[in-house]
Amino acid sequence: MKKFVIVTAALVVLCLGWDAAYYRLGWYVDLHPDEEVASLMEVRGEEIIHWTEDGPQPFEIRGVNMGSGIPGEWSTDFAIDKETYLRWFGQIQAMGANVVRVYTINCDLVLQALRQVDGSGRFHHGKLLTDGLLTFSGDRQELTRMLWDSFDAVSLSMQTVILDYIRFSGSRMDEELLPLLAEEGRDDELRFSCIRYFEKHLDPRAYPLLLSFLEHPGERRWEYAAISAAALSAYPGERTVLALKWAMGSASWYIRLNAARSLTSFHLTYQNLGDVMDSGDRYAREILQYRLDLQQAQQAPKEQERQEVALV
Amino acid sequence: MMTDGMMEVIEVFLHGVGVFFILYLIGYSTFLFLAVVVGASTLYQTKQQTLLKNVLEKNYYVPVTIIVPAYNEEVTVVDTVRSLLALDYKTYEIVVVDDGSQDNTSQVLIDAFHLHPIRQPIRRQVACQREEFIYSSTEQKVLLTLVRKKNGGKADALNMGINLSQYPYFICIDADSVLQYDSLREIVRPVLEDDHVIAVGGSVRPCNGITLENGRVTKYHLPRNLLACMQVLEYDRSFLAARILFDKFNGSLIISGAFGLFKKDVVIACGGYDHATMGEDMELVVKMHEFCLANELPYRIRYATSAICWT
Repeated sequence: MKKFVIVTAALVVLCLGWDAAYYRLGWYVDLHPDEEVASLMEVRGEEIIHWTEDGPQPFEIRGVNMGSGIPGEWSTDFAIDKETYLRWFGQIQAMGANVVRVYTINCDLVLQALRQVDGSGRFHHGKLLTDGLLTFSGDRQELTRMLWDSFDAVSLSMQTVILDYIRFSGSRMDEELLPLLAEEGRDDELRFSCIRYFEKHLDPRAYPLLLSFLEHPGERRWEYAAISAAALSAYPGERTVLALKWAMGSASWYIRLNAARSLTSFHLTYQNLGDVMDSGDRYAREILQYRLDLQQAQQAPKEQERQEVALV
Repeated sequence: MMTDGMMEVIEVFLHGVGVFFILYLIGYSTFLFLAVVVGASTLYQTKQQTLLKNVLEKNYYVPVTIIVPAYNEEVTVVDTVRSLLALDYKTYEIVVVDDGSQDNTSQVLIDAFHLHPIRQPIRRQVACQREEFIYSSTEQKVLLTLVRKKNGGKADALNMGINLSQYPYFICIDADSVLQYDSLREIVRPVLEDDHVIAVGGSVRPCNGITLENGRVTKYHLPRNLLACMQVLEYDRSFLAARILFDKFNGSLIISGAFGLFKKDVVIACGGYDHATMGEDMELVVKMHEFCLANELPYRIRYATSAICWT
């Protein structure tokens, strides 16, 4: 038994030692990356190491700065054609340089990449695509316009991504999105995105639509009413308050919750909300009470701060 | 004559036992070997992808509710919540469910995090005991809610957490375990990779021989005690080999109660955790498999190797 334990322990120690040496001391080198990556680089201190078949080689960056301009043309016209670039790359390589520096990625390339993703048939989470688009540092308005131009040519999930990008990027597309918001029979997710857009960007023409989503649900999915109840927080006024108070009596938890959120965001007094608080509807009362309490709790520390400042 | 017959019977029996054990050993060791080979190759691939930066690295997130059921945990619960508040993640909330503790579990939390009482309506979608009071705090980085209810067991406490949660995904953890700082990011990754994922299991590893600071491992060595050492090896074999193999064909039956992510609407459709069973975590996963198969919903139950919970 003792021998067995010793032998096992020795084996374990050997394996762990190997593991440590293999991964932590850098004996491990991957020489078979995917085809698209032609070489593997590593940063060691201030040196860049290029892993080749012969082992690690120090890599010196010798680069050429590439603008988009050519004498006689505006740089924003992107007048240089593909052949010229390819010829230059050959010359740059022959000169002994190994790196080129570019400034921004073209909108065309972004669109091309999106369509490639769209056509690949593989699942890509919309969140990843929208967040990826938001990292674009070039001309956002140009990108928005190009995305909208190809809106009808891409799949439904990609359309949702484009709408979300438009909303988050802050571009105004009221004229384009209003018909989509109004069009019954279009995909629900697209229209939900439009409702949220008009929460962020006020447009009086969208207001009656949002009200009717809340007040006349009809055959629509309940989400229309719930999201509209949240969006109406951007359209304060007596008419809105009336609609939201009515929605407090809804059978759906989410409609009640969002209506209560929007109502409390208007900073109404207790008296203004009296009819809901005194109503026999316990569900409506409790959720509104909760939102009011929460709002008070969130303001309490700030009030205290203000008082302390006043005392000083 | 009699003894001869007896001997023959015994001989046949022993022979049978021998054959059974040979088959058993061949079968089991084949399984173990297969599991280790598949596990090793998968981990190797992951390592390669990380090296090529071919994994999701940025702060892509989905909102998650962390449910902490606590019963007589006044000693550990504050540290647990503090470590949850230190997680490197953007949108999450913490719901601590005090399951009718006889000690001061609720009071120490209220004192430590300056919680204030709030009248919060609960949407009862799965059955659970009545609540006694609810406290919450908006001063922290994320919303922290404490609910105290009549004692009803761990499953009951988790159900209360589900009812009170506001986000579409929830994570259940034990009140005495510590999540590694990046574990939330890691455990939602399968959800971002595939829309049909309804549950993700995390790695649970014993923290013998580990030094943790703010949810980061600073020192790691095998425990000096031989038995504890074997326990570590057994946990690692199970989580790094067998689970990865099961994961390949959607066969994960257990998502440890100590660390797992679930899609809330599917869990609610299945009726939540079952009060009557001991292994409520396994029961739930089997129910979810059954629900999705019976309703012909496409689904995946995944396992995230790199989402680590120290226990």
